[in-house]
Amino acid sequence: MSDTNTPQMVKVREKKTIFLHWFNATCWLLLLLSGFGMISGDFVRLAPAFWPEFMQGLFNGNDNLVWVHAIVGLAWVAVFVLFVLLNFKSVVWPFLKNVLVLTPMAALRDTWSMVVTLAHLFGIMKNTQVPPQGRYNGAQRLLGTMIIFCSLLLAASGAYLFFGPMVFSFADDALCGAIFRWALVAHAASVFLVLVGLVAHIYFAVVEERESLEAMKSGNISVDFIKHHNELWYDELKREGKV
Amino acid sequence: MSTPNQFDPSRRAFLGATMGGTALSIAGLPSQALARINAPHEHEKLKETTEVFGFCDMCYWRCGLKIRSRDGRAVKIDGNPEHPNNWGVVCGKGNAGLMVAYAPNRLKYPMKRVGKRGGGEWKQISWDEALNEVAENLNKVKKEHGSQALALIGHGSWEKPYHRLAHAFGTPNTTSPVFGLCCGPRGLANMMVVGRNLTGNETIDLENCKYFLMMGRNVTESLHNGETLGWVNGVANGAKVVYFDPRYSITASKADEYYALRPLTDHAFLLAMINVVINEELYDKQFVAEQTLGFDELKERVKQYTPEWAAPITDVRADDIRRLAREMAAKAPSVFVYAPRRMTRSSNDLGTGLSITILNTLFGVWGRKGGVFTPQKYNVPEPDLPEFKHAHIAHRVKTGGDFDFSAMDIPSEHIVDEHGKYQRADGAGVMGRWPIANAQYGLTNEMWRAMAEQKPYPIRALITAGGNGFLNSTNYDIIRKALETIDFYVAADVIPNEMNAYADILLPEASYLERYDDLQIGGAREGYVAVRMPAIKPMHDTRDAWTICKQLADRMDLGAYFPHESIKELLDDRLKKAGSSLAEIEKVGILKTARDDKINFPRDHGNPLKIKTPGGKTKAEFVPSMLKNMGYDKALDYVEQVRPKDDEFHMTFGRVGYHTHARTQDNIWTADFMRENVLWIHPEPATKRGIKEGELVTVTDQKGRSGEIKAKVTARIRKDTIFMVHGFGHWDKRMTTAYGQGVADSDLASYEVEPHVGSMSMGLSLVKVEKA
Amino acid sequence: MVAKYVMLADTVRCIDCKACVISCRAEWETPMGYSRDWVKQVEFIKANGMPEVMLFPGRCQHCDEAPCIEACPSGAAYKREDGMVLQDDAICSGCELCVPACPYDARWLNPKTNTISKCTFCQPRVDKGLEPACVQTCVGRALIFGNINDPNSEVSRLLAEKEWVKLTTDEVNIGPNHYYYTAGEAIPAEVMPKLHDRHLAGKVMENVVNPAGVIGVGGMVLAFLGAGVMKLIGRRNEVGTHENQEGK
Repeated sequence: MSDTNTPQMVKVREKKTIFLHWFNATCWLLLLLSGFGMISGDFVRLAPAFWPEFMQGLFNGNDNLVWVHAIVGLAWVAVFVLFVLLNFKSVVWPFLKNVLVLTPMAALRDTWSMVVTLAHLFGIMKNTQVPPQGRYNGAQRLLGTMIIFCSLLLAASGAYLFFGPMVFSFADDALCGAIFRWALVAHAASVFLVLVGLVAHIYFAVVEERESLEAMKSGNISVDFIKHHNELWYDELKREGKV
Repeated sequence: MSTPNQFDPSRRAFLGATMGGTALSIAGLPSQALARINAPHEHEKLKETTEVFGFCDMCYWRCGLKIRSRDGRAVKIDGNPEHPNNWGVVCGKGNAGLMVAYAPNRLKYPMKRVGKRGGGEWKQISWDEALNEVAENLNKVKKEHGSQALALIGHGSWEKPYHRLAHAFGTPNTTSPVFGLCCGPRGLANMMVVGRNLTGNETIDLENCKYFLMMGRNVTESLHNGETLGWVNGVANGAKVVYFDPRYSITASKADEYYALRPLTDHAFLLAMINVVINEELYDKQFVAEQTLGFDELKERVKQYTPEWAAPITDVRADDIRRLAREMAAKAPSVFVYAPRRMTRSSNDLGTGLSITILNTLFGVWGRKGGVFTPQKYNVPEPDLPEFKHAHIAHRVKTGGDFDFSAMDIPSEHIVDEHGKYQRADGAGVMGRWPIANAQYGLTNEMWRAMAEQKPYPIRALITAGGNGFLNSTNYDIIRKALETIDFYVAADVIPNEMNAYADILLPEASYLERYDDLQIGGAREGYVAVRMPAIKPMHDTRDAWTICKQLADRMDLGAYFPHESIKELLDDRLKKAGSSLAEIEKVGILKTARDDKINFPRDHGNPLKIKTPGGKTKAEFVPSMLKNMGYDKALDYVEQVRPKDDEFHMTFGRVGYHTHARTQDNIWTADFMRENVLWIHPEPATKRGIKEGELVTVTDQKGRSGEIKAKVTARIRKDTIFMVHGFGHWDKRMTTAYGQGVADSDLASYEVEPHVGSMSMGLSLVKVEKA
Repeated sequence: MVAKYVMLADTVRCIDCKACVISCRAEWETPMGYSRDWVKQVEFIKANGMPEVMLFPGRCQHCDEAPCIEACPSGAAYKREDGMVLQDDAICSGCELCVPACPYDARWLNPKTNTISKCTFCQPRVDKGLEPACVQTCVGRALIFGNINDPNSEVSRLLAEKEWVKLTTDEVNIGPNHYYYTAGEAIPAEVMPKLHDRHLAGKVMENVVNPAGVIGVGGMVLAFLGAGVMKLIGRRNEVGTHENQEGK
């Protein structure tokens, strides 16, 4: 079966999952561009002043920009919800099991492997081995966990920021306004957190591990890559007879 | 309170309409490059309105208005820039007029009392039932007691038809509080000396005046737009202001000099001023020589009133009095001694009024620029009506003025005149009672007494048109007794109050934004006639005064006195006789004569002042002959005034710029600034009594009347005086905003009677204040 | 030249009749308990022991450096070219971040609309050639409004004629466009602008989230750029070695 020129490939992702990833990426891009454009006011602004001015001018007023942001955001949430409902057992649950870091011990383990991986990048700790990793390595698991929680927070705070003023009377209940202001803080903080991770995510995909980027297009990846990067997963796949 | 908003996505107007704009802005992008683009914005819009003209009913100055409406709702009251009473400005009260029309507590339909009078239980009845009942009861009174057994008390810019109805009915007993409870003595004093009333809409050349000597004329808080603006302009033009008041009012804060005059001693100060002006020959010699009488007698009479005499009485230093007299003389005739608006204060208001007029006359202010101008008239004849039973009524109809103090026909007998006609029950214009009191406006205070005591003859029925007998007068016992004694009481008003709570039939008036009224005819630098048009349809089952009176007249066979089919027809008829028409005036709101300096300031143009005094003289009378004939010239002499003992205070009250008398406390827009009144007390007596700012105190007068009120501890008042804003302390539960707020000053003010005029001497009350 | 609008308040002419306040209420249908303008009455005892009263009509001062605009996250608060600080209701979410930012207390949350309300210098009226409602009704003609860039305007004439002051302090000096005339009297502290403690959320956003976000994201970008560069150098060296070996 094996061919020396064509490495042995294994299918690890279905089309819908790939679609979801790129849909997510597109939404994030649009939401970031519009979101940074929406927040004006020097005290609370997230982007340099020219950006909100430019974006609000482009969309003929911040009102429209808000609508764009809200519609993309709502579509983003809707597609995710739909995906989770339809593929919970087949894709989502296994994914969560693989990714979520919920115990301190797991977090410690993953942090260690992430530190070592990143250290290698900058040419230090060369003698320390990265411990064997599962389908997702420590860094990915930590990032994934953070993104999942940040996304939930973003969706919730975003929904409140958009619908809150329509539904609640801030004047009658000061708490509603306070929640709005903190939702704004939470929304912005989540975005920043995700962005921090996203830098590494994109770097690895684009510079370090081009193959994983390819895998996010085709759904296939070479067994060698898995063997090399995700030893535990390789063992698992072997047990299951998939490779 | 807390009502969460409905889900309302329309708050974010969606793209749709602006998508084109977006496309354009994208298309335009290259040229703008990455330059900062000004983000487009939506902003508030001025909604379209329609406009009608009117004149104000929030106080008695009656400013010209333009009322803006939208979708059948009046939304904004603006001033009519053409109206000489206000030149386009409108005060807070005027702006709050909308909340008269939209007041939740308005009288909304005709009501008949059920249960005890004043018990506050009513049932709704139809207009026909109400009017029939009123006509029946009035006819019954006429049959049993005669037509003089009806009294009418009117108050407001729409009282006129009620006066006419009462006159047609055949009673002389029509009265307005404006004389006996307010301006009477000052109007009378001016009449006596120069034959001018100088009240109502004062005819002072404020802009050009160079020196105001203000005897408690709090022109910024007891404010009338045109007058206040004119005064402020005068001050801005460099006029000096010297202000006298036991309280440091806002007007005091605008003054160059302020004197915390001892309450009630204005007369002493003014006599000393006259003394200095005469002794130092500071008067207008030509005017005095050519156009006055009795100068020498005056000189003799004021000889004793030196500044040194006045100083300890008034708390004004003698050299200050001399200096002020000299300063004023230097600026004469562009000077003015400004009387207070309400001059029902001391036990000699006539004397105070006379001394003010005398001082103005000595300075020769009449018919001079910067002094007092002679107003023009816009002649609009009244319709032809059958003869009225009483002479003074015919006179009133002839002159047509709404504020005419000039009627001085004084019959000689007590109850019935030489023609067998009943004279006024309040004694106004009646020999042996109050002969110099104005017989048109009467003495409202004495009318209440006549009703309560049924003297000098029975008064069995009462009509009130607006007003509030309790809060605008001072003797609640008399008023309550009057209301309980008479057989029939019908009240017409827009709002509920303590007085109309006693009515047998309550007729709801349309507010001044919902109706036509008879024309406003006035004399300023220009003569003018102005119209009131309805801005909105009546909100409730209400009618206007003219229609109510016409329909009552028809039911009492008095229809001939209301010969027009509608108020509009009346207006058109009157205006056509004046060379215009209703349609024409509705376009502009006001018609005016041209300004003419020669008429306004005859003496600046070499013409003498036209004078005709009630004594029949064509010269100003320093010692009015009519008063002399009746022995009332003694009013020229100073009368010792009450002084508080150590633990007592002078009880004073007054106005604030955003409330009118007792009529705006239930207006939610004016009540917003002052819901309750407070008692001003100086820190020294307050500390002595342990009273701190905002604490509740009990104020009690010598008759034992008392009330609880919060204290305002302030150095802005004399140590021997307390002050409160007038019109609060309402106890009618129908006034849901005003009910139970503050104290009614009228229940603490004195109800002594001024011995010459018959008006009230409200300032004689002395009170004690203790921590509650 | 584009207009620049200013308001003049001649306190000597003000009589505290509240006409401006009620006129504004009627014109813009502001709910009870709130107002876009006000008249402050200040009582004090002068050095000579005499009482004094001063009156200060006030409203949004339409500052050149309006802190409300800087505090507004949605851009609903904005300044027009002619100097008017306005509020875009369609965008305003009513978060009230701007309310404590204003040292003149000119902003409030309107319970009828659930958006921020403030004086607009009656911009819709001014755009139609009318005076602001408060100015039109002012009994003492204490309020004067106009274009300071027009040398023939009444405000320009009055500003040249008399000594006008603005309500500024060492602490708050943000270029208000509301002038006051007091005939030389010092302005009492009661009417001076005051810095307010801003909402904690706003402070967290300004001082924690935004700097941390910039440092975090920026740091990551720099770090990974560094890593990329290192990798590039490493690869070139590798290739260089390879070539050298081949050349041998």
